Amino acid sequence: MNIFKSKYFYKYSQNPLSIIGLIIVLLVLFMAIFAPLITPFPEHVGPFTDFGNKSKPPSWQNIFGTDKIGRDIFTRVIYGYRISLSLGIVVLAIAVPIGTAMGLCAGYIGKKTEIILMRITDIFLAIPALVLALSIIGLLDRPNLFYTMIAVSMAWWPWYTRLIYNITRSVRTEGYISAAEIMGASKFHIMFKEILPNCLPSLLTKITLDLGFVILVGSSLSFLGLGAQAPTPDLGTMVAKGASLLPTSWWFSLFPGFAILLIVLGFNLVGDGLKDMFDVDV
Amino acid sequence: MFNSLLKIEDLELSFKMYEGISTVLKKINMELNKGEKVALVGESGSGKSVTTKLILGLLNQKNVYKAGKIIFNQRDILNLSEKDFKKIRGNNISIIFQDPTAALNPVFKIKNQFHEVNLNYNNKISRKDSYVRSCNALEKVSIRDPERIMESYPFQLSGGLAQRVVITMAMINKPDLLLADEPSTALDVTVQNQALDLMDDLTSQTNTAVLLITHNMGVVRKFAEKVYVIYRGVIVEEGTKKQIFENPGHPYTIALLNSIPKLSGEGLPKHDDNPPDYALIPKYTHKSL
Amino acid sequence: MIKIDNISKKFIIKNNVIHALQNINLLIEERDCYAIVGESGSGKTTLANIILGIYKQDQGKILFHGEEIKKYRTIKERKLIQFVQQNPTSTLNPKKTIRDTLALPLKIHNIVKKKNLDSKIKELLSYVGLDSEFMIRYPDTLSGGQKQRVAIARALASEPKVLILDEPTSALDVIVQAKVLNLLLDIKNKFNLTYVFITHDLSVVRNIANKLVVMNRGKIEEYGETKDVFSNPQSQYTKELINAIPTVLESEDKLKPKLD
Repeated sequence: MNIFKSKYFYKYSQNPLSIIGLIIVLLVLFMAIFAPLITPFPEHVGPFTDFGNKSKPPSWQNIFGTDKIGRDIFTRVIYGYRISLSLGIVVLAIAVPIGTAMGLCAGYIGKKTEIILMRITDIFLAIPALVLALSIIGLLDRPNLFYTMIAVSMAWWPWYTRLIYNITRSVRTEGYISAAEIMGASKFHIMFKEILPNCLPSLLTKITLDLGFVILVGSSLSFLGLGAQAPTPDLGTMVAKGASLLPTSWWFSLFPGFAILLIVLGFNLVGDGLKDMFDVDV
Repeated sequence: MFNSLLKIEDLELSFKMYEGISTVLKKINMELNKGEKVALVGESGSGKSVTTKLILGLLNQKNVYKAGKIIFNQRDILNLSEKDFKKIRGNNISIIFQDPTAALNPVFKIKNQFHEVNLNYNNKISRKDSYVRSCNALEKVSIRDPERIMESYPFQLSGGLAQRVVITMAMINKPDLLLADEPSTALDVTVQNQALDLMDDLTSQTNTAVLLITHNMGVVRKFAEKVYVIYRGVIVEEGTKKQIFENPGHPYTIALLNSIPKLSGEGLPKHDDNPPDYALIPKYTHKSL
Repeated sequence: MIKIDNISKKFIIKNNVIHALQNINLLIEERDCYAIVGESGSGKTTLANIILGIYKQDQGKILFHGEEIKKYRTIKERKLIQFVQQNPTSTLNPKKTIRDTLALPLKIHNIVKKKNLDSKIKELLSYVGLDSEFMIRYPDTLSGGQKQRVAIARALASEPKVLILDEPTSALDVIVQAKVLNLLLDIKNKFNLTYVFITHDLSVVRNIANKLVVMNRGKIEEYGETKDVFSNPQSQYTKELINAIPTVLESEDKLKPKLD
């Protein structure tokens, strides 16, 4: 089954920006997965120092330059992508199932379940993602990547509840749902086997768009010092550490910052492409 | 010749899609004279609805291929600019759709929607004059309390009433041509007849020609003087009402008429399990009287 | 077989009380093709929904084979009364193959063992005149008539005794409608089914139903054997309805009743 020949890909490729986005995302994924093989100095990711080589601007040997303790920034940026991508994936792996299940139940079962679930969702939605994540992290003893992931997930699931709830509400009135009810199908079957498949286009689109946004929020948190701790390379932390040294050692912040920009842009373009391809509104 | 209002010559329409090119209209020819009531009857996929879209200049996307001529008031409008079409739509050519509530904007009161239509007639008309003009039009169609209707929102009107309002709006600028796309399908049968009668009255008064698009032969018989039967983008038969109903010539027309359950209760209509490809059988034209 | 015993239902929408059904009494016997005729607002769809257990009546009972059935149905009750809807486009889940759509009732009611599922589905498709290759297709590749056939096959899957048909052919083209109506009649005879046929189309009723009831604003206007009601309509409303039918032959015109 050649995916490039399918009708969907034809529609997707109508917009050249979507193809660019796809290339960016695939490129970053490739680099992150094969990081040990493609980076020149993988050992710079761990505890490594080379004060003789510190703060060198970009050169043929270190194409992004070296940082304050002599580590190659290019290698660290590529490994930083690993952290960013895993943050995105883990957060959504937690938020999406919770939000989806809640949205389906609230939208289909209705009555008291709907009221309780949606009011809880409203409460979480009222607090901006960054603020919510910060307060949760503040409750835990010392910051690390894992806690950051949990905190961001808590800020994210309500959006999925709302999305799935809206779709469920509109699908609920379709003929095939009442046909299944009259047939005697269980509520569980109707929610997960009849309604959920109809949510997939919107869900996939939103997940793609969110991957970029989660990475952005995660980078903001690590910019504030709450991300992965040293010596693990984290793009947000790298931007923060380099901020005070601008504009002289400009390469400390620019390349990690640009890396964040690139991956967020990539996911955004792919998400928009999916939005056009599926013709949905998320 | 000079009585001719709309002449469609060798009209072709194709869409370029992923699966290939889909030809929806294959060189169709039709003619309407001033004040004439003509029906274009066919089933889904026949191309009857896209014909109205072409007459209104609504198919301009890049994957659309058009050829042939649509001559309206001695002018070929097939490839007219959007700017010129705006002058024609609502003024010289009006349209009524199947679902009256879909034609009306749900968030605006009727009086505001009438005002928009009146602006097509005179783009400097004041709201007051517009209101008066609209009320007069509604009274003329026996709507007893036009002020109440004007202040209502579309959802507050019944289906039949909404359709009468839509017909009135379409006719208020006395267009040369009224396109009616399945105008009665969404209505109950008794209301349907009232809507058709209303259309008949109004268009006769203003000598407006009507192109009625439908799949319902009963409606055709009630309303039309001349009939074109279309099947998969091809006109297969053309004739007067009397000719088509008393002496249908083309096998497709005959199949259409046979498929309708009859009031005599002689049982369900017979159907052909392996019908021929109707598009390949040549067009049947009745001899002119 | 199905007795509608003094059913009433009202809806309250924004302080307006709408009496959808008022004291409806009907008796549908086995192997009837019982038509419920009315225009919009007549209450015919509300009645169908109550028979199917979608709505609950305010008063009155529905008796099936002498036993009362309520809104909450057992699986067995659901098996015996099935439904074909008006709109072919929304009646099939666009994300499921025809096979999966037809498998659902078979699984719920344990009609066949898992290994025989596919062959049973092919059998159902053959009843409605569809080739087995339709199994792997999705609804968006089917025409309106084909979708409606699948809906009929789905209704037959649970081996019901009664089919409630709500305007099953109104959304179809006229030639396709003739085919589907013929199919419905064949299936009724083959499986000894009872039909409750809800429609506004009197020409269809004239040719398919043996009994009919005319409803008007929640009340029964007239009822009886089809041929009797058509040849000698009693109520003014029924006469108006028959007169309004868009007929295509002069011979039909002559059959219309004279209005007072």
